[in-house]
Amino acid sequence: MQGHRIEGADKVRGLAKYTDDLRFATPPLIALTATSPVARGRVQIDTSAALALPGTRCVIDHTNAPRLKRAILISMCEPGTRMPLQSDQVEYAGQPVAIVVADSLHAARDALAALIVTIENHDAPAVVLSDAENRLKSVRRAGIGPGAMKKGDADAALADASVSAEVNAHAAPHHQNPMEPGAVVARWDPDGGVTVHAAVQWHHLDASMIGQAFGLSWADGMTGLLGRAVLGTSGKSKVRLHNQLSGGAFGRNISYLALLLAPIAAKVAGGPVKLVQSRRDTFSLMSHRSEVKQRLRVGADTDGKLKAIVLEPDIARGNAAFVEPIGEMPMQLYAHDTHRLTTRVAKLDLPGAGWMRGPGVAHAIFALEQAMDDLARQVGKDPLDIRLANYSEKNPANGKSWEAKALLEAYEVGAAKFGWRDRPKGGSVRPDGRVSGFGMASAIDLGRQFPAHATVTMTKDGRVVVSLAVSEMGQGLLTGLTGVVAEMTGVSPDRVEFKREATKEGYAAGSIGSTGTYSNAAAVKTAVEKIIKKLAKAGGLPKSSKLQDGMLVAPNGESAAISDLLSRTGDLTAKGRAGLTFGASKQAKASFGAVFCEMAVDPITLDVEVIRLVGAYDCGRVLQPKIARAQLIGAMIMGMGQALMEETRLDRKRGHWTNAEIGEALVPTQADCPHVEAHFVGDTQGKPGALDFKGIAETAIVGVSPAIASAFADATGGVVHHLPLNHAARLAAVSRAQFSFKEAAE
Amino acid sequence: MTITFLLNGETVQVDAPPTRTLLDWLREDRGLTGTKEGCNEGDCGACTVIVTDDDGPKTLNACILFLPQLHGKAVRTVEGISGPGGKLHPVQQAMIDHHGSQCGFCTPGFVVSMACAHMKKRSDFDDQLAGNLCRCTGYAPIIRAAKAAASEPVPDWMIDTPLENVQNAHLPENTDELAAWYADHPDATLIAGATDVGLWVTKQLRDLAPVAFLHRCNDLQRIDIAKDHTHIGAGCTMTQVLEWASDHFPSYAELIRRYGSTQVRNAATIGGNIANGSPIGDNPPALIALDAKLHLRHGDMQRVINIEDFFIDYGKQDSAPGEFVEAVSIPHQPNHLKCYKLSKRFDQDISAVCGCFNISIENNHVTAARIAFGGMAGIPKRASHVEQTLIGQTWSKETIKTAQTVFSKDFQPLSDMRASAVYRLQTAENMLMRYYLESIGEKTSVLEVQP
Repeated sequence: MQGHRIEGADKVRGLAKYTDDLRFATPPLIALTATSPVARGRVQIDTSAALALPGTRCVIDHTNAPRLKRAILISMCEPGTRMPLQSDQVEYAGQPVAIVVADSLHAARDALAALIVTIENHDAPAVVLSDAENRLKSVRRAGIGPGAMKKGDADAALADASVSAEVNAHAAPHHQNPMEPGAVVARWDPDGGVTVHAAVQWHHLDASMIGQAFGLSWADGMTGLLGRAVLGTSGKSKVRLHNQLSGGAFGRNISYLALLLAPIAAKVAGGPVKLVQSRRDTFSLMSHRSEVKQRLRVGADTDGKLKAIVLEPDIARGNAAFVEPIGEMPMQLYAHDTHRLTTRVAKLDLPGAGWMRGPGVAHAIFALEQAMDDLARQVGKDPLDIRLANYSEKNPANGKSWEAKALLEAYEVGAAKFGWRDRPKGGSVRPDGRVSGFGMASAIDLGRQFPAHATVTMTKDGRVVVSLAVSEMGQGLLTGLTGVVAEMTGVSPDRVEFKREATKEGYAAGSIGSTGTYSNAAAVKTAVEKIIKKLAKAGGLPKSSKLQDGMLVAPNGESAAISDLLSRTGDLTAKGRAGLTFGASKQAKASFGAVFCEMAVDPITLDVEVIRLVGAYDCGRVLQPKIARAQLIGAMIMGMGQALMEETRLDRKRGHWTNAEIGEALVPTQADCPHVEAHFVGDTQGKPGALDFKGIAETAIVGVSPAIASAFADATGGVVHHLPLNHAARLAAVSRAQFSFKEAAE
Repeated sequence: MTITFLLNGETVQVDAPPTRTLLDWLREDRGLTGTKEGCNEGDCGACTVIVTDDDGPKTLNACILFLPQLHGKAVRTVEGISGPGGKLHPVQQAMIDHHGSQCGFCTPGFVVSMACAHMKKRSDFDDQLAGNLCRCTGYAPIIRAAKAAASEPVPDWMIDTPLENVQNAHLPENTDELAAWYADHPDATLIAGATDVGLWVTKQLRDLAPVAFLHRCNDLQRIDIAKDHTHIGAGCTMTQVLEWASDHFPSYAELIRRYGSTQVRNAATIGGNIANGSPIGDNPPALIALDAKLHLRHGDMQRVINIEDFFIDYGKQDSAPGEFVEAVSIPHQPNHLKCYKLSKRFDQDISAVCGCFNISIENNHVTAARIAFGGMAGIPKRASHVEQTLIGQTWSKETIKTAQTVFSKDFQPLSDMRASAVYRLQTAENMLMRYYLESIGEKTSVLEVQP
């Protein structure tokens, strides 16, 4: 049983229900979204042909959509900046300009095809950074992270450094593309509230967004949200959000537009509506990871020890406040004396950018690790040795000690499992004629904790019921929390029940930033501890007693049957909260890792194949090794996709994504996958009684793209400046290295 | 149009518009929501179903499968993979045991593909599952599950047999019927596997009426070996062509292995791939290199042309209204064919450059050369100047180097999202060198590569 996903049997049978699979007593009408084909202008919509179709119920555009209020959104996603269908102003291609509501999916498709959308006076957009030099502005804050940082005089230290390296890294935008396109069902209730079924990553945040937009009640406003975070209850909320299983998310299912479009459609249509997103819709109705340019310079002494890090990122921002938080992480990985961060942001005529697995850090570490490789070459050190030389016991950005840091062990285990020290020389020819390359990189992601409030009930009939509005997106959070409860209560996992869908369940930390399981488990743990104390009191046993095998057992061995105690007390309920200080601690907390890559490059075509990826990760305590390893491997392959193929391209004239479909916005297939290993290092058992979890998946995407780029450079001498490492980027890299792949073939 | 087929063992009759997809019907009309829509274009495999016809079971993408294509066949969805009382199929149990399901959205498609491979005793899991995308697992746990279930027996509930003696559903039953009808309805859309036409409906929301479905024309689906050539009916699926090519032109077979996915090869036809005139279809360069002839038919009239002459210009083919591709024939010849496909992703990706080389050498001299490329021009195109430069010359590195210089006379490729013009031209030239090196048995391992 250990480690079996609790919803696994439903999933393999096709019985697990995602939002689009739900059936209701009153079948909802079907809504589809019309989007702008161009980036700028004023929209006019001729609805007459669509409305004339027999199956069409209504068409909603800015002229008849309900007026929405501004929402204050700490997720910084698009609805916090601009609400949909509020004016005729078009600000990006793919912007929702109308909703058709019809009796069936087919009728809705017919209505959509019959809609005539005209955009007047559209002027030229800027959708890529190279077209937006004049829009770049220096910022002090970049999203959740700092936009400017300074420690000592980094520029002087750089100028004085014996050795220096400069990396100009450019990363194309790309999309999370989880497998589920997603749908949202909305119904207005007689009391003026709204019931919404959708998959979201942070239940109460998005319930609050809907409440704010429609001005429902103070309990749904920002004050209400803060109240929920502190007190744990949703008060008199009028948003009944039922959080469904999510077919993957990776940051995308946060504060997305369809959560507002569906209630808009239901309001105008006067009945329940299901708004269905096509895959293409998701490219602009949901977020993406934005384009980023980084100029990174490092200075070091002749041993390669870092003296200065100067990072100057230019970051694209779409129609959302969100900015890819590039700046913070490079300063926390290696020991160094001085640093400077100067961030510039350009608002482009694009959909709102947003969260994607490893936000900021995946790109930031890519650039830093390219620079470290360059330093290694210059000082004649092995890439691993230069990282060891710059190892930092403390967080170099703030001097805090780490709660736990097993990065040295990650280097050691990863290198040993990979055979790093015995690897062939880069550029050597393989038996099949291809050229070998080897690369490695470090990984880091900061640990955080968010508030959560769990209500746990132990019932007389031997069940444990947890009320907590958590999100299950495939990461295994439900299974993980069930494991925590089962371990603490001694109750079999199949007797642990979660009530998580409805807004009335306990305020849960969002499934964001690899923090959900830890943050929510902390609240569950506190609640279970309270129940144990109540049981101990009922049984006259000390508070330090533990639950195991149906018994409450005191340290001296004295015990009482839980069922007896519960028959006396009745069902016991306790509330547990945690994370109200956001995990503030005198110590810094992060997950760490080391990634090693072997690659083969075809000298005739420059085709690359990743042969092996070996990662070693310090993710703290590992509760469910199978699930944790699956998360690591999945994220490593996503990192490989980011390195080699994932990019969403833009038409610079009209401003739309040109490959907004899964057949063209490539993600790895099985054939692309190398031999992949993920090893756990550090204290995987945790201290007795402590949770000691750290983030998993976000850390595992970090380090993969630099390790792969490093292997390519090792094979060809071509230093990679652009992600993904597509044909053009490979050609550019080898051209700079004067590696003529044409001549190499002779 | 009334269609009859078996659904998870039960006979169903459906009266629906001809371009209603199986996926929409399952989900919207039948309430079977286990089959998922991930892309609605046949690229992700989340909607995979097993369809059994006279050739046995095969996987297909339900999102680009029109209901009339199922007439007389048996369909099995993920709901029919578990047995009576919800008894798990071995691949389902293995997916649970090996954590092959994370978010679970791709899982039904994988389970169906795995169950079909299991039934057919296929162990080439990478190929069998290439058409199923997963974003969570990194695939390793899924492949482990497939391996773990391989030795388990096939549950008896999985065995389907197609329906016999189904009523005529106004679908053409042979090529003559098709030819007569199409000559009378030259504006109609012909639908074979629907891997391309399906997208006109699901992505472009086009109304295709009138349409004709070709899949009941059994005489279009045969591969006949004649005295001096092989005759491949236009309705042969790429799976059929792959099997044939494996025995005769292994390099062409390897190209087809990377063509679409198992689900797409099971549906797509060679005739469709030629007739749609795409500059980046993978069959035409190979067929041009093999000196294939195209058999076109209009009513009772048939004509035969060189396949390269079919492609006139981008989007323009040599075919008259009401005329269709009936077959392609390939002359028997020694196998000198090498096909090199270059794409952004190894599997299931459209070619950036597809180069096919068929060069005959006698006494160390080039006696014949047929070289054709996809992705290098607006149509699949022969490298005529390169061929002429090679013919009559000694088969040597010097000759290759000379020939490499004339590629730019044959091709002025474009830069687009798949590759840049420079990269296309250079790799095309390099492919010729690869052909040479492979032909002289010299491994590319002799290459000196600068670090």
